[in-house]
This record gives sequence, structure tokens and C-alpha cells, in this order.
Amino acid sequence: MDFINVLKMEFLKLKRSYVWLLMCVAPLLMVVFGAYNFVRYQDVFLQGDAVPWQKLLGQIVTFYGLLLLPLSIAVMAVWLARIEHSENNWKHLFTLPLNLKAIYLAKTIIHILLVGISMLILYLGTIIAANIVNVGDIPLKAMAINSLICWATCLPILALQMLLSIRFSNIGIPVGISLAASITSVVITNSAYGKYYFWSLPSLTLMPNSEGMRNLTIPYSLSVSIIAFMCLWIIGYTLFRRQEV
Amino acid sequence: MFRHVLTAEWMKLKNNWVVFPVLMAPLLILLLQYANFRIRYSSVVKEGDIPWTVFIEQHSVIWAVLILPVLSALLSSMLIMTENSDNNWKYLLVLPIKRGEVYFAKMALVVLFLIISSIILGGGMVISSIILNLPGEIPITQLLQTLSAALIGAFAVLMIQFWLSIRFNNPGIPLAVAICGTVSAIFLLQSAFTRWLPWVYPYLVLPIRLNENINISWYMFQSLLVGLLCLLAGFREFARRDI
Repeated sequence: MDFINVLKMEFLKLKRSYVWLLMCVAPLLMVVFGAYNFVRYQDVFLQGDAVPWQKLLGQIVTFYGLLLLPLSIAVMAVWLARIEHSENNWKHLFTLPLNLKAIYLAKTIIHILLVGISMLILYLGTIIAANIVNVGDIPLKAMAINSLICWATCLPILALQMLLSIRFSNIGIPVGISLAASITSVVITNSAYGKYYFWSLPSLTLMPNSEGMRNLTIPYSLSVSIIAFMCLWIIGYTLFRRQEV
Repeated sequence: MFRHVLTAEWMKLKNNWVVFPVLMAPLLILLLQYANFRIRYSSVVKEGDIPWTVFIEQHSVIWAVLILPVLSALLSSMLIMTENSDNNWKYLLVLPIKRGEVYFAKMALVVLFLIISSIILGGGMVISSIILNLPGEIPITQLLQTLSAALIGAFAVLMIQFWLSIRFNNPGIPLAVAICGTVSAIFLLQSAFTRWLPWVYPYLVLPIRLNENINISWYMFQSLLVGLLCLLAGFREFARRDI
């Protein structure tokens, strides 16, 4: 019961501020621009035996997975932590008869759910775009699985950003690190080391099979991400507990 | 008086980690491109290309499209955030200084940091080229032209971000706009139809070969015009706001 209340409290904080719209707008923007780009350069993309839906999906998810998704996770984390940093709300929060673990866990869960909304909108948006552009049948099930795995691979990034945003009240550090990591991932994803770099995993999992998932199996990406997430979460929580506010 | 306000703003930045993004951004690009030129030199520099031209292009494209817009948003947010938290505006504005002075002092610092960042990038490129043994004279004019063009192109974005940061207490909103705008720019700059959006200007003003059939000075003018309009609108809004 206690934990449910903390979650409800976090939801209330979210309600009146419109930053969560970012998680809806970001995937929609990419769907619209990706589909538009696909229509414009259709002749170039569909040379040879290219599969239309794979090309369309590639257009939509390339920059979403590489740049926009990690960056929007960073901005959301900054914002979730910012509510408490501003006006010194941590002090008020800590005087409540609440478990510190519950507070940290509630923030993480809200963050995970927001990323989930993003994935859902990306999935639905891609299906709608595919119908409008008319690329024929798309494998709905495989795409849904990819989106779910992508959600899981976002977890370590999410935990790291949460840790940084809560640790430093300055927004320059979490956003700066996220920007650096995302731009580096543009280079690393195209190399053989992509599967060892956490920022590359979301875009590799989202890519249709022919282009992405280069020797990246589902069990590998799931286990690596979840283990990394657990470690980062525990480190984050330990730092949070010791933090002087 | 303006100098005093500027000094005061400068003092606030101590222990504020503002140096972190200012240094990190150019260093990141330098490292990435150093690795790019070291490992893939033969595929980056094709036959008949002037190595330095390619070198400048490779740096400036990522710099202008991805880094400058986000960096200007981040710096504006960081400088303005110190006032937004704990309602510091009230204390600041009771001092016998004009609102305009506060506004322009903050803006001057953001611009200064962007210039410093560009200088670090330029200097770093020279050093990196020496380590890489890049053949040919260092084209100082071309380097300066490209870097200052990118700054002029980012002017519009900077003014929009500054306005947004000062308008909204929450740094999430300007940052969200910045990242959406920046990533969309990758798509937007491909079609002539959407080239009026400010996030595209930093790329379109670059004097590089890809922009050969684009009227660079027109986009510089457009960037300055949009920037000035946003500057005036933002200032007007700030001067009249009930804080």
C-alpha cells in the first residue's frame, strides 16, 4: 500500500507538467519524417531485391534509436530529478514517513513506463505509416518483439541517466554525457563493437533483421541489459541513500 | 553597470560545471574524427581530394548539425536555471539594475562560451592534423570561415532556446525542444521544402562542397533575422513578465 501511494504521488507530479509529451512527440516525429523520407527517395531505396517495409522501418528507427531515444531518456531523467532538486524538495520528501527505496524505485518505474509509452507509439506509428505508404505486409509479431527487447535494452541507459541526474543537480553533466554517448554510438554501431556498447543496443535491436541484429541474439541483449540495469540501479540507490541533500 | 552585471553572472558560474560541456563537446568531436582519420583514412579521403577540405568538412558537419544546437540549449538552460531554482529572480531583480542588463549579460556569456568552444575545436583540429601528419598547408581562413559560419547559423537556434529557457521554469521543456529539433534536422535538411526551420540553418550556412548549390549568405541572413526577432520577442516578454 505504501509503495502504491508513492507511485501515485509521482504520477501527480507528472500530471500538470507537459514534459511527458516528449515521449509521445519524439517517436511520432521520427515516424513522420522517416515515412516522408522513404516516399521521397523510394526509387533509390527499392533498387534490387530490397524489401519495402524493411527500408521504411530502417528510415524510421535509425536516428530514433541512435540519437533521439537515448537523448529523450536523458531529458526525462533530468526532469524527474529536477522536480526534487528545485526548491530543495528532497528535504521535504525525505521528511515524509517513506522508505528511500520506495522513492527511488517509484521514479525508476515511472521512467521505465514513459519509455514504454514511447516504444508503443513508435510501434503503432510505424504500422500506421506502413499502411499509408503501402509497403505491403509487415511482420507485426517480429516488430512487437523487437520493440519489447529495445525497451529492455534501454534499461541500463535509463538507470545510468537516473543516477547522474539525481547525483548532480547540474543538468550539464547528465545531458552532456548522454549527448557524447549518443554521438559516439553513431560511430560504434556501424563497427563490429556495436554489441558491447549499451548506447548501440536500442538501435541494433530496432533495426529490421537484414540490417541490424548483427550476431546480436535475443538472450544476449536481454541478459546483458538486465544485469547492467540491476548493477546500475543498486549503485544508484546506494549513492542516493548516502547523498546529502 | 553592464560590466558589473556581467561579473556577477560570471561569479555565479564558479563551481557550476559549466566548463564541462564547453570542453567536452569539442573534445568529443576531435577524438571521434581523429579515430576516423587514423583508422579509415583511405576511405575518408578519396583520390583527388584535398585532405584538409575533407578534414574540415567531417568536423564541421557533426559540429553544426548535432552539437551546436544542443550545446546552445544546454548552456542557456544552465545559466538561467540558477535563477529559476529557489526563485532567485526576485532577489536579482530588486537590485538597482535593469532587466535588460541581466538578460543581455546572460546571453553574452552563452555566446562567449559557444565562441570558446569553437576556438577549442579549431585549435584542436590544428593539433590533431599535426599528429595525423595531414599533408598540405593549414588553411586558416577556410577553418575560421567554417567555424564562424556555424556560429552564425546557430544564432537563431540559440535565441529560441534562450527564450524558451527563460520562459519555462522547467529545463525539461527547452531541452526536449532542442533534441527533437536537432534530430529532426537530419531529415529536414534533405528537402528544400522544410529548410526554413531554424535547426537546419547551422548546416546550411557551412561553406562546404555539399552546400555548393545553396545560397549560404541567404541562410546566414535568415538565421540572423530569425535570431533577432526571437531576441526581441524574448526580451519584451521577459521585461514585462510578472515574476
